[in-house]
Amino acid sequence: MKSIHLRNVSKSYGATPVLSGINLQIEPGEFTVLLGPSGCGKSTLLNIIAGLEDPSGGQLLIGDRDVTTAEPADRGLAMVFQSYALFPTMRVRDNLTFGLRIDRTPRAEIEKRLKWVSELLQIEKLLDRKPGQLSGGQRQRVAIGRALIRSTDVCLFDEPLSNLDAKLRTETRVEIKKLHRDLGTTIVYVTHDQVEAMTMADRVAVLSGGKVEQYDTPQAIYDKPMTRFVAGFLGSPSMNFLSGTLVAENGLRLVRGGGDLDLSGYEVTNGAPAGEAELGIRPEALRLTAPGAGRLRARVESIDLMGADRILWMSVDGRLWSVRVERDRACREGEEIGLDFSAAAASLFSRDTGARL
Amino acid sequence: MTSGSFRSSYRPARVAVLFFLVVALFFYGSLVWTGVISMTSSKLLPVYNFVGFDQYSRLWSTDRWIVSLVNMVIFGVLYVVVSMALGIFLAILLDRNVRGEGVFRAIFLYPFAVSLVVTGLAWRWIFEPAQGVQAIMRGFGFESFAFDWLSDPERAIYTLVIAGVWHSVGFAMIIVLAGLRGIGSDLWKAIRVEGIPLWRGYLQIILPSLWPVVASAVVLLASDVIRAYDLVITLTKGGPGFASDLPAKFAVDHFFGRANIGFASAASILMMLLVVAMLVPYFWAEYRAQKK
Repeated sequence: MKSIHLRNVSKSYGATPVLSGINLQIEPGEFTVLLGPSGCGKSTLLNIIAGLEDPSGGQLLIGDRDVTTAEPADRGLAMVFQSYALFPTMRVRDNLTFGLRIDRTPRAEIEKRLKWVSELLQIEKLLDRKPGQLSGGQRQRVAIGRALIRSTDVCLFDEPLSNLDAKLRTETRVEIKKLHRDLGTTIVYVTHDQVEAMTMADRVAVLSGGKVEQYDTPQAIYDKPMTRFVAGFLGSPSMNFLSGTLVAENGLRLVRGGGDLDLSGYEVTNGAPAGEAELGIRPEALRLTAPGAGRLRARVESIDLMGADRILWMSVDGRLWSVRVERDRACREGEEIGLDFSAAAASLFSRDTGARL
Repeated sequence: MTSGSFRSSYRPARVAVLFFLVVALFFYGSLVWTGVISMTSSKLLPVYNFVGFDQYSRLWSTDRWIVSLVNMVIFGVLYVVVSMALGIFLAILLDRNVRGEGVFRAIFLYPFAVSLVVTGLAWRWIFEPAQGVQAIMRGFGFESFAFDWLSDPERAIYTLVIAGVWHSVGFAMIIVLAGLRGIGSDLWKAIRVEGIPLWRGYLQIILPSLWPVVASAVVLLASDVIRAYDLVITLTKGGPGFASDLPAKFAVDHFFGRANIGFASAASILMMLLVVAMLVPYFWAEYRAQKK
């Protein structure tokens, strides 16, 4: 298994910068997800790692080898694509083994690996079919098989589950995770789906506007988003925000139109917080209280039944907030209610820079 | 039922029936009539004294007909194969993101916009020893340079191939290029990551997946071969002698030049059977592909 180091990698198309100053250190055997909205540069970054596009600046190492300008085939990696990219006129068997035959792998070795991969992915019965005769899920298994059969140290996934339906997506997700655990390959996985990122990754790099916003474990990114963008991008429903001015005398307080909000107990990340700021609280970090009892006043606007729990949509300071409550909790639309939270579970972001305070 | 709803529900069908009647009368009617005439001993005017398959057996003992058939095979195979091979090659070159692709596309496609009559005349001048390539080369001082295929019975047929390929190569290129443009970028990425050399990628993955496109182009080019008349008339006039005759020219000559319409009809019917024999496998393959 090999590590992947990206050192100050940048990419621009003409005058348009797509990626700037990307630094990632992916450890051997790690499952890294590149997460971000469309157009954030995550696919471009994956293409640069694969060697399908050249970076405009910076350095890329796989293992100890500088592969910044190496051909894709010389980088010792395999790749799975969103549209599967199977060779349409070849049988599954030939799709899996074509690359090995190009490399002049001995026939016995090819047969051995073919047997191993087709048993691993349970595609033995499909070997003599053509891609056109397979379902979407089967095609994706073959595409994964074509990547695994090369026994590379690094495997890249470019939104591999986006073309599958919801049920199949969940199943395949679990399966890819299991494959990673069993094989220990270093994986870089691009997706815009935060559920995939949260459930599969050892570490997630959240990208926005061609920059890495945060690079950490899924739990850390969820609990302690380092920028306002990450806070708003992860979580469904997303984090609730409230703006005001931070004052640090007599304990940390957020001064706003509806009265001061006591934030003592908040763990400060960067320096002395002051000035215009935004407070962020996750829907499940809010507690319902009697009207007037909590630190915030709210009015229930509508109720979403989610099965396991319920999402209450309420107006707080003229903003629409969501609160996750257990399904037995009685409440009505239009009800006045109080909200409370622990300052330790909240996040504060600078209004100017978007950085966590 | 009101007349309004009658009209609105039946008008399309009535228009279609009219159209089909026209087609049936003029197309299939002519076809049947030609078939009937080919069984008679008609000369200048159609007469209906039936002689069975006499005209057909006469055809097969006529040298000129055999020569024209052999010529058609030579011309057909070379024309289709060379046009497709060059067309595919040019399409691949253009597909590699060359600069000024639009200009090249226009240059290669331009001959296709020229009518075959003009193509034939232009190439006649080029091949003509007195003013064409031979004269130019001799003008440069190569006194013994000879390029007289037009008057060489063995080689006249290849002048048709050259002119025909020049005319159609752009057409083959544009059709294949359209197919290549439909190939997803992921497939190309997969080919690169798997370390497959470019030429093997094209030969073993991309082109096989374009076979319906290639097959359509081949069928269209093949129909040119059987219809080929204007090119022959303007370029070689079937000569020298009848060394570069093709079946279509054979039939027209006997219809109008030699006033032997029974004989010419027999030749026409055989040409039609050739077309049918060529198209049936294509439609059969299409039909089977659709059933899957």
